[in-house]
Amino acid sequence: MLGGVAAESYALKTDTIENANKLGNVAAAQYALKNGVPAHNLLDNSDFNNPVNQRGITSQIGGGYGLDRWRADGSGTISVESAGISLTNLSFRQPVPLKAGTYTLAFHLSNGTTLGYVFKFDGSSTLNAINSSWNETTGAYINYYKHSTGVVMVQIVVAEGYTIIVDWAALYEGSYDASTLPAYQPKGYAAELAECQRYFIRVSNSAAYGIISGTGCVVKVPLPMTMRKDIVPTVTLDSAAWAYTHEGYVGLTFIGTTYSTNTASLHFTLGTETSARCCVVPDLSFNISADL
Amino acid sequence: MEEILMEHPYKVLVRVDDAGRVVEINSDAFVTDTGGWVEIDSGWGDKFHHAQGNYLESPLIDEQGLFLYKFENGQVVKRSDAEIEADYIPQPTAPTQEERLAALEDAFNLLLEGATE
Repeated sequence: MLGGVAAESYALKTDTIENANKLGNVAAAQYALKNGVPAHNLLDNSDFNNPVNQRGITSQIGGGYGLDRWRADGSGTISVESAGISLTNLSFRQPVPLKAGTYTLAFHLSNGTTLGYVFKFDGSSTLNAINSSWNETTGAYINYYKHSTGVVMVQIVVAEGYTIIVDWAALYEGSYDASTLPAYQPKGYAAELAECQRYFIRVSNSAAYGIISGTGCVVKVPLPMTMRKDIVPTVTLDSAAWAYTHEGYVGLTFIGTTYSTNTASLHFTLGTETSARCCVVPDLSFNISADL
Repeated sequence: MEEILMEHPYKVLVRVDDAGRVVEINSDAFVTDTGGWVEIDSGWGDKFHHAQGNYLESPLIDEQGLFLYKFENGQVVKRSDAEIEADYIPQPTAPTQEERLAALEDAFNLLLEGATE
């Protein structure tokens, strides 16, 4: 009647719901491992065989965000390939909000090598290495550092003259070594996309209406509910904008964004005078970024 | 290797027009060509990274597209109400039915004059 599960394990599973402190101070990931529950990967967009790539990069020279939630810094290149992502002469990083605890960071290369690093974080600014013996390979190593209060930057660094292909990455709560590291479980593209869209959304070829007043035109765009709400995101236009009024076409120059609850107002100046009070802005493509 | 490892603070940039009005604000995370931009600050965190909507206390522009800040003595400061109002250009009004009819009559009369000459 226990569905084939040993009585002790059944009791423990029930206990996790009713009385969490009876885990006996065992890290949640290790407890989950013991009871056959997949460990939760704290990284977003970790499956590089099918990465979320709203910016649509195929190749990028380091210098900012490319693949969702990952930024590349340095003068080298990153390219998206069928076996994973190819990295040359750069650091490939993700800022991760973390609470106080012990964590294991891992990057898996397409040649079968797994790099791992265990560290302890105080939840604010202090990080301490616990186990660094398996964090390097020829031409590459992984590490981490404080990005901002409560946010840790995890990264893999590839030296000049070397190229590696990474097919997945993971960050687990708890301390693991090479033999106990949980098996990697892709979250699925839909789940990864939802996590990434808390930080970045690309809107392509949408149509919106605009209100004209004076020499200005304001286009209101509802902000996606998935985005983090603790800051005002940055909007950048991806292409030139123009408006259609009853008097004909009018060029628009984007000058900035203002915000009210859940709505971004894109402000433009008009290229020509018009008596129109409203317009349609077709083919509007823009990026909304709240990246850390 | 040092260049790969370094993470630089974000630069807050503004564009200023000939009249000294701040017409755009952003950070170097989003501005690829910084020609014509002026750096006013730098730092870490969302305020600097997402300067477009988080650096200034108030929005850069109002609902009519009028600029609310100016660049003066190396500082970004708010413009006065008089300065802002002076920028307002009323929209041309649409012609009335009578004006449109009168314009059509004038054009028709011109055509008739040309046909009878």
